[in-house]
Amino acid sequence: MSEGGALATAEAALQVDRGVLDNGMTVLVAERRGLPMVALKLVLRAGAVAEPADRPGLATLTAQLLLQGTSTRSAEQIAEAVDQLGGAFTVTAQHDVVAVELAVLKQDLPTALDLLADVLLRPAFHPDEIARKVKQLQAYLLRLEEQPRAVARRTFNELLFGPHPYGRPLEGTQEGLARITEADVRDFYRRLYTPRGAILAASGEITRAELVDALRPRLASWQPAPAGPPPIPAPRPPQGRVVKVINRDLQQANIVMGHLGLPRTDPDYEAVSVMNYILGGGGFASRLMQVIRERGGLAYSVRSGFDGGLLHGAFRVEMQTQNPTANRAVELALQEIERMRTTPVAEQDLEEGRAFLIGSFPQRLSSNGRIVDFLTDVELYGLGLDYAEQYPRRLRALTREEIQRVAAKYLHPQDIVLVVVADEGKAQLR
Amino acid sequence: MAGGLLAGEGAAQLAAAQEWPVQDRTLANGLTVLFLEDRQTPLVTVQVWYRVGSRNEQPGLTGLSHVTEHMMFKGTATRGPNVFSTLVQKAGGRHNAFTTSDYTVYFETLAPQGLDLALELEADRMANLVIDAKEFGLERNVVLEERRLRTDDNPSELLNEEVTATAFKAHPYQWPVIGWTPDLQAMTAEDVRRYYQTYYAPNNAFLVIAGHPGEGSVFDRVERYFGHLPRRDGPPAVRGREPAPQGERRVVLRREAELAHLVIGYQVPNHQSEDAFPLDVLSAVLGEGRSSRLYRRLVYSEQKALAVRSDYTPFTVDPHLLSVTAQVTAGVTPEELERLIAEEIERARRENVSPAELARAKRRLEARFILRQDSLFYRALAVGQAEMLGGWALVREYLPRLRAVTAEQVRQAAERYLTEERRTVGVLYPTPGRGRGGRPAGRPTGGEFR
Repeated sequence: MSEGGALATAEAALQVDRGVLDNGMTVLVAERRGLPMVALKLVLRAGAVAEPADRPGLATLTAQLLLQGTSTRSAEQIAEAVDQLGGAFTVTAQHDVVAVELAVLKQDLPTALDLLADVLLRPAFHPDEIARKVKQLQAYLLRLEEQPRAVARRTFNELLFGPHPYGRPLEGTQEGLARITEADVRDFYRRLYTPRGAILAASGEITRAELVDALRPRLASWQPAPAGPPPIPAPRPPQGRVVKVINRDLQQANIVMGHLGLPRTDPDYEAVSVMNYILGGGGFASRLMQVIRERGGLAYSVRSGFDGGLLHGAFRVEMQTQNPTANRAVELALQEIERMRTTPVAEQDLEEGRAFLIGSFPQRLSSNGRIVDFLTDVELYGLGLDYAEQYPRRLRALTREEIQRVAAKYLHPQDIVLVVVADEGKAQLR
Repeated sequence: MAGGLLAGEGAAQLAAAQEWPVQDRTLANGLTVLFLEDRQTPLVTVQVWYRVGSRNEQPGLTGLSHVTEHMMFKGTATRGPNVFSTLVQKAGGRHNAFTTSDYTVYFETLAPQGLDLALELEADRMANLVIDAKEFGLERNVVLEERRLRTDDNPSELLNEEVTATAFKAHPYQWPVIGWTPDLQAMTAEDVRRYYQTYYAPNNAFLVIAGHPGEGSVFDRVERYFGHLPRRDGPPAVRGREPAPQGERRVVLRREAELAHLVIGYQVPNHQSEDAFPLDVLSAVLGEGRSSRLYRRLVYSEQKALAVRSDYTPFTVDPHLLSVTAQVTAGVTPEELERLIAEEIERARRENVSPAELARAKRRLEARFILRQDSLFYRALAVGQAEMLGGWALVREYLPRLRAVTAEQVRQAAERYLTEERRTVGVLYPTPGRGRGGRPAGRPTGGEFR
């Protein structure tokens, strides 16, 4: 294991100890005494972007099957072990990655690492378990149809990203799931569940040396796969406005609107986050909340966000309003996006956004669970171990002109994709 | 694992973590202050707990506690609407509030140097709230949107609401925290003013402050901002008592949905009963986690349900429900699923759980309780909840009371309370495609955030 940097962030005095194992996995540890627990998060480059195009849902299926049996444990035995540990042991596929997350009492760490190594290295992928999970995911897809926000988001992603993997629903499709075979799962696992590029973060009553000593015998057989995942091209969004209305028996119109954003790795990301705070990310301080909720009484929840991953994510505004006011709410949101693009923000707006984002930063490091999220992000997106120090500096250096520049560059009201799930007769969308 | 659940070094560490070193003081005006010091992270959480929730409401004015919570952000005699949010966020603070059937909590989490600001703002709105009719009208619309979002357009929430409304015929737990739509539509700014005058007073509230306090005494600072606020007459006691149930109740909904939903709620006692902790363990054995009986049989082995779970908390002011919730797999009838759940309930009433099952359920609850303390906010919440129910020191009793539960107590609790006459069954049958028709309204559990 090579030595990495240790660093104290100015605001939160977080000591991070980083190193890379011989098999290529990066290990980051923040030692924190107090509560006798350890939070762990393992991130693998085995998300939905690596799925074959005609097998949507394969990443989620493979991830969920890790807990459905190994060469030495049945699914029921794994369920018992997880509950015995307190129940906080999950495997979740996202677009870029798969995350294995666990939080355990310190005294349970050896048991938890045994379980982690077992499910990671020796999953059984038994045909019965695959069939069972496929059936469950197919039923879950039906359940999602009952959730108008989920329907709106999925449709928005499909329209915005088209055939690009970011447009794929993580939970798959009925047809895609039906097509997946045992060989598909095994192949996906063999190619992508590899330590090369993997990130393991730990926070709590543990040191890096302790963790590495504990991992070494358990992960000895885990070696890199011959080839990494193929590179994914950047998404190519549609030009011009796209509108889709889905008719349902609902009291509220569920609105998702937006366009392509930027990758999390983009140097403009911080400037964009301040701009978005002012527009719709800043809760009650944001313009969208002020105009649509506080002064309009039109919605309970309204927000905007840029959810960049390794590639360009989406810029989205989400809100819900009773059917007859859907047009009004959309109009107001578009006006605010346009105003942000064309009118420089006041010095006070910039100052308030900056003050909140800098001042609330320590809250991102305030628990073991949050620290492992932070550390895996820092590593995955190459933000640098000193990100907690750099972040306030970068924000303080921002000017109104800079906010203006990124607003003009990253907001495109003419290319908005608008999805509304509503009672069409009452909403009368224009 | 039975017996020596926590041995050796682990037990010593846990004991240290379990001390809950709370300092408390009560001001002359009746405001109690609880301070849980933790200097590990440069953050402090302030929570103001008011002893008012939907159980304090009257028929015709349901949802008033939650609407009042919304109005608490609308300005005071010296600060306009939204000044609160702006000041807290400028200080790098996060803030919000939530209302449950039992209490209303306002909170800020910020850097230690922001503690004074949070205290000053909270003291101001405890005594000087301005309820403007125009602001009220807008906010009522926001709350109606919140209700549409959370309940009216959410089939499983709608069913929960109907089951709770059916299970309680006398106690105010029958109505949802967010309130019934007609009540919200008829509510006035004057209703909120009267409610605020009645329930928002230092002697009907307490503060929980957790984390890093910065320079100076926490208690002195609370005294400075809150000490001069006048005590008010104590609010009226909640008189509603639920009579003994006389027989099973049923409610049926038909909605545009994909899957049938089933909810079975049993009237059970709360923390004041010796049976509360056995019920807590019983709920875990039945339906918390993938090794629980209902999940294992219905979701995993027989695949009759997409999801099933059991919910219970001992920590309500008055007795509430233990409920089993399930989503029925396509091709299975709710009646069949109900019959299978009834078999498992019957088994729990007749036979003791095995030592391994008991140990696992207790271990799950215990680990969860400790692991949640990773969050400063949660620790403050646990202290506040205990204070709400009779004294913060009760938080120290959770683990010992949980560990003392026996298999026989679990069986007896099941036998006593999981009976037909204590049961309310709700079924939602899906109607295909775009059905038409008016919609009734919503319910509590958990709470409604601002």
